[in-house]
Amino acid sequence: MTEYLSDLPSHIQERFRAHPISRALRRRPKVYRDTSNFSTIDYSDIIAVDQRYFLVTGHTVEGRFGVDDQIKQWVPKTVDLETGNSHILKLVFHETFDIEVGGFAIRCYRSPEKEARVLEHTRGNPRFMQGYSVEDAAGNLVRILDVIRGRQLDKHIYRFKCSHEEYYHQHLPGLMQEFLDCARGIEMLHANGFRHGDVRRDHILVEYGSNHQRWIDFDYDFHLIEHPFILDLHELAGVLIFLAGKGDHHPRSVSEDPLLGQRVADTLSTDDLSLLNRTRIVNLRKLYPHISEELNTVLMHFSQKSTVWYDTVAELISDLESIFPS
Amino acid sequence: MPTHQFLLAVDDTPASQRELQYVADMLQHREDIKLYLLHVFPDPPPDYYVQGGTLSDYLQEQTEQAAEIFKHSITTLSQKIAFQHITTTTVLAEGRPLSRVILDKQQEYQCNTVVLGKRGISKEEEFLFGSVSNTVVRASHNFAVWIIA
Repeated sequence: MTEYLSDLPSHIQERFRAHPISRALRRRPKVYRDTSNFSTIDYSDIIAVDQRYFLVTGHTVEGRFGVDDQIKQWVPKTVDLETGNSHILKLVFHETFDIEVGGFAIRCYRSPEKEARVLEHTRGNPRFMQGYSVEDAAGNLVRILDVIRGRQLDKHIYRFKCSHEEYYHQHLPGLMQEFLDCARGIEMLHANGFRHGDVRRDHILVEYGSNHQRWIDFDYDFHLIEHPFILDLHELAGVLIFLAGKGDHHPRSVSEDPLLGQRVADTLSTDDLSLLNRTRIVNLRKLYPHISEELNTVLMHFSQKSTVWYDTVAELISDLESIFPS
Repeated sequence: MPTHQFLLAVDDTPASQRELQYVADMLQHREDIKLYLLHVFPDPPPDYYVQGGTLSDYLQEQTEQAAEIFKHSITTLSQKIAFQHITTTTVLAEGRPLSRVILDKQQEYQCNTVVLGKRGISKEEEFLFGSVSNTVVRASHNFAVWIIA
């Protein structure tokens, strides 16, 4: 039987009516205690779980290249009608798909259960988004997440309008301390048998005010048997290369860059490119000679040239700590 | 009492078949040996249980596959090595890399030699998917490793 706002406690109805959303209703708001059919849950509906009432105020969108701006129906933005606090809810959506890494298809699993376990394991850890999981009336594992007020790491970096050299000397050391703390968070996950699963620069939020970097989105999982944590390590290196370079660099963008140009582009060889992404420059010292040899050596372990790789995030952190002592 | 104990990691790949043939040729007519055939299988993929699979289904499926692998392995070996020298073991990795299980079994059985088949893989493949043989070689401090390429 469909439940409506009028079926809810009176003080919740009052809170709803006090919310600006009540003045722009397109249809009679429904109450969902079973979120199985999440695609029908819309703006102004209410999700009732854990004896709380979450008013849907919108949906999050994909940030991944190629599917960016696609609405994630299973991830509504909400307001808790009791407290007035904003939360992101993640509803159960199992999917399996292949991603391409280095020319290889790797099966990826979206797993609410895995995210719930990571949330529980990282409770109270400031490097990770916070929240908890609860079953809805149909037994679906709903994750109730606190909103992090912050900016995606890539957007944070793009705001530095200074030269690379100034960025490198003035800003990177501080950014690296934060990044190292985030990397230690990943190391801790691995030590406990968990993967982040979707390490990306836009899955680190830089908190407004404190500038602390924090991980979000843990619902992807992989099944890489011999190297169970390698994708986290590889993607973490991707974030590092992005930070060190103040953005991504590709041979074409180098030749088109007035400060670098064809003269620098001509010095690049296959050896300078990423092991698993042959359009991405890893040997950043060729672009920016002020990058230290030590840092560049770390980056080059992820290049086509390298025959020796880091096996663990802990090894990568250890080398970075000696370059960026706290 | 055998003076040489060999741990042979086997599966259903051509590399494993080459490994078995090589061992049979090298150890033919030896009486002072014991061969432990080890088949390690990984945990089920993350969506296995979501799709209704159970651990007992998975174990049964994998055990049946292992029986086939051992049957072929013993056929190859027993052409040159006495059947009574051969023992088989099947192990679920339980979250461990396959190389870790092999190393654990080497310790448990006190094998002097670990034998592995190696397939040719690219640098990118090795980085992403790992190399069981390279990991075992790197960890081999008190035993020999035969890599059959």
